[in-house]
Amino acid sequence: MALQRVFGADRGAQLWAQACREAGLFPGHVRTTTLLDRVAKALSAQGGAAAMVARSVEIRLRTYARLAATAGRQG
Amino acid sequence: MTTVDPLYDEARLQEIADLDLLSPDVDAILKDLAAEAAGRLGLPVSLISVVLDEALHVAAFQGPDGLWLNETRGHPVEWSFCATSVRTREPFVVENAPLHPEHGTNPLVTQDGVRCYAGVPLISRLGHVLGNLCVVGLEEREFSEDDVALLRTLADEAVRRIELRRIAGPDS
Repeated sequence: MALQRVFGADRGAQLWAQACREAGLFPGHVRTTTLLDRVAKALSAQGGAAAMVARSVEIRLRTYARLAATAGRQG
Repeated sequence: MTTVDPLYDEARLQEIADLDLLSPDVDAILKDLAAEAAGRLGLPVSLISVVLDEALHVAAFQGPDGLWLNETRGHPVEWSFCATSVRTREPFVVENAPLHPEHGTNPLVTQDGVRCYAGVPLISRLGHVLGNLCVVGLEEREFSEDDVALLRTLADEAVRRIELRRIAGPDS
């Protein structure tokens, strides 16, 4: 979705599929944050604007992990 | 005619990549400007942000340890005060964050205790808003026109250094 907002539907889908392939994953099977992190690293390696989208994903994953850790300490 | 939201503008993101603004060495190049902004306005935190499509990346940071921003070096764009200037191309000032209609429920406000913010956009030679130079405080405060002008001056210097980076390349 993030890729499609930046690159349009077709190119976004292509870049996602390429990053998944390079991460050794099927595009429809990225269902955990661990797998998403792998795809983001592959996306980052593509460079350019795609790498900026990848950094966004990385920051969001790190944020969610920190929120979960904080909630765990409070709960 | 469809208008592209600048936040998702591929050309803007490509320029951020071309300038290598996510590189860790950017902090050393810009940190003194963040320090000067915080020091002269008497606020605990200042940063130079790079606003990506869905997150804010902290390129340079001045402030105490233990804050979210310094630990994660970024946060989701919907928490970002700096994203406003990417769209408006104007300075953005929040003097009492808990009462602000967009940021009153922002976790940076409700959990980290942010109470005031002032930021000015970093506009590149190509005309893209790359991010902001901003100050953040933990108590509400008013910002004068002189305060914003100071931030503008420091932001202009930040852009000048960033543009030198484009010409010289990251290794020089």
